[in-house]
Amino acid sequence: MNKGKFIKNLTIVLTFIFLYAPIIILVIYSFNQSKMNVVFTGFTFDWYKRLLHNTDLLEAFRNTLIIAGVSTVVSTIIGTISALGLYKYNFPMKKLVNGLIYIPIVIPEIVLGISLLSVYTITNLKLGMPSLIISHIAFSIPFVITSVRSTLNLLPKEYEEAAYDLGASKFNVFTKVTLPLIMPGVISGGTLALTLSMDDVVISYFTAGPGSNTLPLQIYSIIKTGITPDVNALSTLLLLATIIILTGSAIYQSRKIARRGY
Amino acid sequence: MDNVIVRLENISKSFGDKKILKNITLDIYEGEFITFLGPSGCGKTTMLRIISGLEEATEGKVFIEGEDVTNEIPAKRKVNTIFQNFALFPHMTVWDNINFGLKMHKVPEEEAEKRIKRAIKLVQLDGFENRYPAQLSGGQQQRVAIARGIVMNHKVLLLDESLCSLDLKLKREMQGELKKLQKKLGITFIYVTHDQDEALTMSDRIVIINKGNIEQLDSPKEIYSKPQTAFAADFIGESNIIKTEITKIKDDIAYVKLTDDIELAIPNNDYKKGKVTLIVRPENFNPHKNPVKESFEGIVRNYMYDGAIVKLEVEVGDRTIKVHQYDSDIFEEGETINIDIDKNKVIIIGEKDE
Repeated sequence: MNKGKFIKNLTIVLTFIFLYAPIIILVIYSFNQSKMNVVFTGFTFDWYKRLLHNTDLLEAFRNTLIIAGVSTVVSTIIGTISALGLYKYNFPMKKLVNGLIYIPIVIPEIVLGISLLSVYTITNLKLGMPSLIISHIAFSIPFVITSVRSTLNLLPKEYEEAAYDLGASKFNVFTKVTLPLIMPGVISGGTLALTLSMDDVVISYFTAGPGSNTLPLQIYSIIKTGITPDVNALSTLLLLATIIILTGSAIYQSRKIARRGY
Repeated sequence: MDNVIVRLENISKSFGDKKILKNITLDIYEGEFITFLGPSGCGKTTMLRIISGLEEATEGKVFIEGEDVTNEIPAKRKVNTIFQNFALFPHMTVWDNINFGLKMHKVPEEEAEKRIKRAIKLVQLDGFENRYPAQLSGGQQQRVAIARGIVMNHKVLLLDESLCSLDLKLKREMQGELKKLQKKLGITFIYVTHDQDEALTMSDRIVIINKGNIEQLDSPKEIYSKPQTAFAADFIGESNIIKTEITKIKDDIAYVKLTDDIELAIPNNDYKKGKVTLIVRPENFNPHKNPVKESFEGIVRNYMYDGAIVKLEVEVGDRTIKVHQYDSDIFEEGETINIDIDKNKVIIIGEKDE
């Protein structure tokens, strides 16, 4: 092996260790008998069992699922419609509006969190599930718009024209041609919204109220007193869920691509 | 070929201040293969889109089958378009693509099935019903696009540069097939192209369009042998386009200056003395080794072998003319040759046409 190749391979190995070692350690310690994350004293499923009886954590998990579910569906619908509107219609200051969409993406989350909080204070909205859901919808929409718009930009206008030419109504052109063709963008926008909502800490921290703890906030409050193995166990489960979802979607996409070529 | 199926009446189209079409009036007949031919940006595609309804005319009216459809949406017009990129719906199978229009028009399933099967047979795509467009070759995609159009049973099919994206060999093949299909179906094909070969081989009539105007509307043969403008002569086939003058007219003979020293004697055909454009197809100049009656001399400057013909560029006085020769190679570069002209095939256009 020559020297250049050796260095290249070493870099790759080190990069992977750097990226994945913490995750692997987390998974290993979730099965550790000892409460301390220092030495591995024996294999156990105890922390996973304890998880099922931790009502605070389960409640937070339920809240997160509700918030993520509702905000994903709503923001995907609003985002898709907005992207279509921005793509199809011309109106004064369209360029400005196009640029403004990126602002919620680039400004620090903490600013967005504070500004949402002040809106709720001014409007006298009681902090809780509704305020959380509204906040999550608000910060997800720009991501959906961006994702859908990028697929729209790649869509030749002839598809819609051909559909009109063959006698389709506007509604049918949208449901039978446009929507199926931009679906990849809608799905990736929705997935983005889902993951953003599920692990959001900063904005949720500002806009959550009593009784509306989310999973990331709950975990955050637990680790203030040190990382416990049940958090490791929970994280491992989340990791597993993510891997399953991603693998499933990758298999689905690649099969679809093999069949239809897009 | 007497029934007018599509009629454009004083059609104008502007995008902003840019005039794309200028007062076009055109009758298209039932069962003909008519081609809109012109360079890119001449307005030919816009004309097609105005017929299909995908574009609105700024002024003028469109009639299809005698009905004024100027303000109708595309869905209500009895025509269908084959797009340049075919625009097959990538998420639908061949069958579903062809079925799309029938579904939208709520054609009963049983009848739809019959019509789709017939269309698939006509374009020879049996066995491909369940494939997706991405699994088809360019030629096959083209056939699906045609099937999707003809299954609607309309009397007019619009084809927008439909063979453009195919490679040369496939293009030639499809040209023949398109023509055959059109004859078999007996419907009107309105074909848009910038490719003059395509226009000449397939069309019953060609509309030459330039800068939003119809330059000439004729059969391919008429257009080739009797171009009415220098643009038409230049765009269709090769031409020598020579700006010159008629010096005198005497006893039914018009004398046209070729160079300062050479005058051609052309049978008079209502020509007038003065500045004219002389158009001679390269094959209507005949090269000879030895002088013949009324021949003039020239020096071969360039010699290009092109299979069936040899293309010569010949220097005559201060001009260079294109001469095509159908015999085997007997001339060399630098050689002085004698040229005479097929007098009856010369075209002279008066100054006003320029």
